[in-house]
Amino acid sequence: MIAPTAHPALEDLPVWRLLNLGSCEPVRAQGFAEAVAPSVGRGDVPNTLLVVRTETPFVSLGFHQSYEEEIDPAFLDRHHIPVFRRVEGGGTAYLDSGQLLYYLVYRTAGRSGGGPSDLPRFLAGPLHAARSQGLAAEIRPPSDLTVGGRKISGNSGGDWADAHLIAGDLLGRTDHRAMADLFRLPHPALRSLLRREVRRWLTSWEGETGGPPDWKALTAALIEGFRAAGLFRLEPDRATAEEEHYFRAETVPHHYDRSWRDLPASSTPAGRLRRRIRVAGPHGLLVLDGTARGELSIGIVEGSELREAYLVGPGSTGGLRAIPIGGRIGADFQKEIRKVPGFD
Amino acid sequence: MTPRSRRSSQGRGPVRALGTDLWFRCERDGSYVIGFTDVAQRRNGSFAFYRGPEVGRRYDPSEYAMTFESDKCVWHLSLPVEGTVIETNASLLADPRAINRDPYGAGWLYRMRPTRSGALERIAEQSARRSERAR
Repeated sequence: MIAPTAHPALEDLPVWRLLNLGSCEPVRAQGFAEAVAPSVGRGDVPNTLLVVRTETPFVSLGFHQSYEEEIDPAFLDRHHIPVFRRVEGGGTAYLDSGQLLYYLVYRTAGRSGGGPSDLPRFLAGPLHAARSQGLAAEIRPPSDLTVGGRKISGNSGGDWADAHLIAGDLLGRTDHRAMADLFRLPHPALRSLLRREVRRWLTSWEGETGGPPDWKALTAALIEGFRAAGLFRLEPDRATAEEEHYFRAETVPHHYDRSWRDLPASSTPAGRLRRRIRVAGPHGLLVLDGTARGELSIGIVEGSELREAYLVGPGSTGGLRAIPIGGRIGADFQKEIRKVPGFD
Repeated sequence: MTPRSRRSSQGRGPVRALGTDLWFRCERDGSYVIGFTDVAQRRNGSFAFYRGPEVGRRYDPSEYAMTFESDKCVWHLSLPVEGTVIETNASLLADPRAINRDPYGAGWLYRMRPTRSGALERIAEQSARRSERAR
């Protein structure tokens, strides 16, 4: 069950520490949870909920993502923003001050988090927060929150120093264009398509309520959401001197270490699937090696449905040629899409 | 689909359960192939990445040997017993979903040689006895 229906009494809930870092520099916004993990893992401090916003934008690469494959260098040249690899899974994300970031850091007693089984349980926090503000939010397994089918929160998990981390963001305000433009694409004709799809698949607090988010109220709603979901009781606290020291001495150098950022993707597909750009949950562009003539085939998926398909010619600087399709697709997109004329 | 009900078509040893999450099978050369059970692959969701253990390296069960990503969570796993990794399933690099599709076949994880002979069998028997007692 994802959202508890019967909550234990507040005094019976385990006590977690609340660290509200406010607004801070990108490396702290992404990295401080990793500095908290060792002290949580040793049991020096309680399990911790960390809430933070970034003052300036940054790009967050998933643990297994490839910097070279994911990021458009022209975007970084224009925006001069840092790219950090996180220890959690999931896809590449553009994070700016329009988003509220949260991290759950909890002890695993020397064992790995043991897979994704914890994640749905913790989605009850942001879900409760969104619903308490009148948004008809739903959980979209495995890790997103959506409103009207559009993503408003993404979440992922990972292990660090005998602790498990779940990282999430609540989209207060979304820069759709930046979200679309950060990705490296195999053909420039895809850019406008991706911008359109990002608008279709992502929403935000502002987009749903019609006004800019009140950050204090949004932060309070998120914190209250975790408490009201009956997961734990929060006690506000400050980071310890040891955590601050670990952050400066270990986390910051690690985040700026290019050998960490540039880690090759561990499983770059060797087959014909050339590129998958996930925009939100299961939604995204699928770009495949094309025909023997060097064409690229592009699919747009929504859930398990292949909604649109396009073909772009070799070396073409023009637009995309739409290909009529229909029907659902299964787990093996490559196999299915090749049943479509033009993709075989 | 249960591991005990399966037998290799290539005349190797039977597939045996190692707790609820893993299976193993003894090969003709005395090495062991390890994989996730159907129960484990279902519980862990859709596999997106698998970084296998280093081939030729001896691992202790107290250290993590491999990394997975499933349903947006990165997690790690040790070897069940001390031993040397002989082979890792390289095809999972390009197709980690094989763990979900075919956990007892194409989705096998790695092949190892335990330091102590019979170590995997002993763990399997202990685990089976614990399960019996729990019933």
